Parts: sequence; structure tokens; C-alpha cells
Amino acid sequence: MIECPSCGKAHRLGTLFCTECGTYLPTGQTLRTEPFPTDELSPPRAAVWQAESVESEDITPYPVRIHVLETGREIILPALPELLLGRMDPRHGIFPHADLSPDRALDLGVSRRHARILQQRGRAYLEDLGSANGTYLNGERLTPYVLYPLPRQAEVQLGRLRLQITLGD
Amino acid sequence: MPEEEKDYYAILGVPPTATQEEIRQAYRRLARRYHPDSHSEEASAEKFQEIREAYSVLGDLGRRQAYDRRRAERGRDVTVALAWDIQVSRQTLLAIPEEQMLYLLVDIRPSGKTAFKRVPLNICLVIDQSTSMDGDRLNHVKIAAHYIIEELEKDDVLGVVSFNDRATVMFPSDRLKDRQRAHARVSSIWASGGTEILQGLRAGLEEIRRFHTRETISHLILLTDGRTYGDEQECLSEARRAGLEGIEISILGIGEDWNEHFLDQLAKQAGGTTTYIAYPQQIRPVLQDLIQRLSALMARNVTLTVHPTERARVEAVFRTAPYMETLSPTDHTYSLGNLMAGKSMQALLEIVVRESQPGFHPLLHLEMQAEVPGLNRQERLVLDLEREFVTELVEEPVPPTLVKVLSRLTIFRMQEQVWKALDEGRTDEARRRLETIATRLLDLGEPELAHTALLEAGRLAQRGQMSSRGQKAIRYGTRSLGLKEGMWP
Repeated sequence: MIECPSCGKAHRLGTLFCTECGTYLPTGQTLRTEPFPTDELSPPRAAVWQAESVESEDITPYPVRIHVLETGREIILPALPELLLGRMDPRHGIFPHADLSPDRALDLGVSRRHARILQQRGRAYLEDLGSANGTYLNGERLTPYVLYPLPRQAEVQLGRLRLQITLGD
Repeated sequence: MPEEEKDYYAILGVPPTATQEEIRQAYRRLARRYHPDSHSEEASAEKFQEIREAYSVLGDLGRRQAYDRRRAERGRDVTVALAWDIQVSRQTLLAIPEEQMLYLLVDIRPSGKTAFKRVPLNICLVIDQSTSMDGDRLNHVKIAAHYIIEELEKDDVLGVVSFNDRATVMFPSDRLKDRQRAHARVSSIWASGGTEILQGLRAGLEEIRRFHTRETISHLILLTDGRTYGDEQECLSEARRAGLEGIEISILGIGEDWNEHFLDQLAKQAGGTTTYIAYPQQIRPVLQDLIQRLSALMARNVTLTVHPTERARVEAVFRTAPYMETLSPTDHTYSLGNLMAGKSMQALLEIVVRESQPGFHPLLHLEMQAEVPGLNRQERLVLDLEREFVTELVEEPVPPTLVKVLSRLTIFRMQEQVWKALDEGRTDEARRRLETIATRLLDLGEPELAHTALLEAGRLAQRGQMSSRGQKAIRYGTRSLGLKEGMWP
């Protein structure tokens, strides 16, 4: 028997998808995100990094397109003021808008609640949620729980998972 | 005159209708037997070379098709109208005294070796004219009917029945010689009264039977927005009888008030489909699409029969394309419905296997049967599946198509769990499941359906119940998840 790493349901050997929570079973072994050795990570910058932000008269949020460089997968997220990126864990009630489990997120050090994209009054921000292995915006490591302006097109890295994030269509 | 090619099928000992899977299987077995390095008495470099040559052609779909065409030109094989391919989640299994799961994806499609011949249609539109249809709904039904009258060919038969508390034959079934009269009769349908589906169903079936033969495609299309009261059981037995005669029933359910359990069952009894119409403007495209699919019918009554050996058993069987559906067997046989020209049809089998002795072991006998009305014949394909059981697990990739199909099927099954939880009053569980489904749908790039699932989860949390529109959208939306994939490379 094998156990679903997300919800704990037992399945027969060879089962590919958990019928309880939909997790792809051949990936995802343990539940915890293991922190990488510290020498691999660059220290976070203290100051809030200034970048060209999305400014617009139109205050409705943009839909967000995430291109996962690891797997080439495209995720299109609805236009919501807050979008959570991470790994799904139904057992603990964590349902990210973008579940990166299929992209080897666990191996690449993505936390369950890793980061979020906020869109408020026509501005977009990226915030690290105190993840184990950090969030990088265009190569800069973010200080946890600080809002960084998110440009229209950005290279974002969660742990070692590299993403290209585009706001709007 | 080109040199006569070797008979690669004979070398591998498989029939020309063999699937890629059977060819792989045969190759593995023979290669092991004749390999010069094997300690077998039969080891032979020459024989092994021949086997490898045969596999290099037949094992490659592109080269095999070219080889098949050359064979066909020499008139070697009877041309079959249907072909299939089978993908299996594992090539090897563990020899352990524990149950293991094996998935089989069966993809059935026209072989492309026979020309498609359109079979005349025998259509009857059964139109709900109850008061609730008044206005937009009935108007769009009429517009759709006008289009259909123009699109059917002159050998096709059309009948139109309208019903409220009783049925009226507006246009008796006949070959379409007088389209103007058909248009006029459709225009004169007006709304009044209640909804008694049985009345319409009976009158419609009576019309259809007058032209029904095994050589036509007879299809009753029911367009309704309402529930029927008290005559459900009689409707179901009428549908069952029609199904046995080879008459199919499809249903377009308009708006939110119809009873999806009942109408789903009704269509299922007679091998048709139910489609959810949220907005009246969708009626015409959906109806046109249905007629187009019937015009393109290549094979009907496609069935799969599975006979597992003593070391295997069938856990579940699903159709995954064109629509997702959990299938239940009649005497080991699963009914898949109709196959359209240029389209493929898919079934997914979950097989539970247990074997502790290493070696090659047969697991099951699979058989596909279908009626090909254009060629007036029955076709049959068979496969005996065996797997190698080993003592140490070999890392092997799962076929990507299989993963894709399974990920969608998993969502479909998760939503079935939502209805079950709701029926049994476990609202909290239903809400949690809906949230899980929403995340999975976002993974698949289905933001709209995901959004609906999230909204409905919110409704459940606040009011303890879902909206009727949301329920239908999720039910029929997940069912169609299989449709968006190109199933064949």
C-alpha cells in the first residue's frame, strides 16, 4: 500500500491519482518542505525594492498567467485580489490557487503557503509568506511578509522552482 | 514491381489488427527467447535479427502505417474500419503477495483505411411547448429547428412533435421533400399548458418507428425545460424499449428547473446524451452539433468486454471521451456508445492485480465489438494482455496521455463524491471537496469551472446549499473535461 502525501488516504501500489484529493501520487513523497542548506540561498534585502509597478485607472485585478519553466506548464489564474501560490494540502485546509505540486514543487523546496500575489487599487504586489526556501523576484530575494511591487512581467522563483508571471492577457 | 516484403506480423506471431501494445509484448517475449546471449537452446542470431527487423517497423506507428498501406495494395488484409491502441500504466509489476493497481487506456478510432459513408438519419424533434417555455426559450428552439430543417439531407427523415399535457404531431415523419411545410409547422408551435414528457416521448417514438430500420440512424431529440410529474417510470421503460430497438434518445435540458437525475437516466436507457443549456442562445449550436455528430456516425454500439484471469479483477471502467461516464457492465460487457468519423473514443480500465510468482503472466482478455452501418458489418478486435512480474521494481515513465486522462477523470470522480456527500447530508465534506476540485481545475487550466466550484463552496458554507445552476454547471462541465484533449497523436 502507499499513502497519499497530501491527505493520508491509503491506496494500492501503482495507483496514480488519489481519488480523495486528486494528488498525483508518483511525485510528492513527504509532507514537509525541507529547507535547503543556507549557503545556497542569498540573504534577503532589507529595503523594499522599487520597480516599475502596474498602475492603472482600472482598479479591477488582472488575470494572472504563470509559466512554470521547470515543466513548461501554463497556469491561468482568475482575476482575484489575492492569489496564493504553493502546494495543496487538503488535510490542513490549504488550497492554493496555484498548486505547484505537479511541477516537482516539493523537491524544489516550495512551501505549502509559499507566496501570494495581491492586487489592490490597480497595483500588484508579491509577498513571501515566510516560506522555508524563500521567494525571489527578478533575482532578488524578498524579505518575508513585505509587499514588493510586481511588474507586468516578472521572473519569480519559489525555492528553486522558476516561474514567469504575467499580469493581464 | 517492388520486392515482396517480409510478413512482419507472421514473424512476431500477431494478427495485422494487433495493437502497438500487443506488438511490444510479442517482441519482448520473442527477443528474450531467441536472444543470442540468452541461455535458451533456441538462441539464434539470425532469428533474433529478423525479430528485431520486424519490430523496428511494426513498433513504430509511422513506419507501421506505411507498411500496412503497402500490404493493403497487395491485397493481403481485409480492411478494417476501426483501430485501437492501448496504453498501460506499467510494463512490469512487482511479484509480491499484495494487490497492485494497473490502468489501461483504450483508444478506439476509425482506422482511416475505409472510406466513410454517411448513413441516412431518422430524426424526431420532441419540443416542450409548456407555458414555462414561452418567450426566449421556445423562440430559440424554433430557430434551431429551422436550421436543422435546412441542414438535413434529402434522404434523411424528419418528424416534429410538440407537447404540453398532451402531444401534437406537428410534422409527421417523412423524407424532407417539403421543407417549406416543415418550416411553417414549426413556426406555428405556441406555448401553453403543463409538461408531461411521457406524452411527447410516446408520440415521438411512434413517428420514428415508422422509418426505423437497422440501416438508418434513428434519434429522438427531446427539448425541455421542465420536470414531469408522476410518469417518470413509464418514460424510463419507453426509453429502455426504444434502446433495445436501436432508437437513441438525446436530451437538451434548458434552464435550471429540469430534473437532471431523471433526464440523465432517460437518455442513458436509450444510449444518448443529456446536455445542459444555460442560455437559450446555446440551443441552436448544441442541436446543430448533435446533428453533425450523427451525420458523422462511423460505428455504433461500441462495446468492450473484459475477461480477467484468476490473478486480476476489474475494479472500475470509465468512458473518458467523448463524455466522462462511469460504466457498469452487463455480463462483463461495457457499452461505450457511438464513434464519429475523425474522432476517437476512450475508455479507462482500473485493474487490480495480484501475483507473487515472477515471470510473464496473462492478465486479461479484452474484446471490442462495434457495428459499422456504412459497411453493414460487425467488427471485432481482441487483445490478450500479459505483464512481466519482477522481484525488483523497475523505474519507468507513465505514458503522458494516460496521466492527462486520469487527472481529468479524477476530478470527475471527485465531483461525484460531492453529490453523494450532499445527498447524505454531509455539507461540510461536500464544501471541502468542492474546494479541492476548484484547485485541481485551476491546475488543468479551467478557471471558469474552478470559479463556479469556489462560488458553490461559498454558498454551501453560508447557506448550506448549492445553487441549481452551479450544480448543473459542475456536473456537465466536469463530464466534458475529456472533450478538450486531442486524443490521438
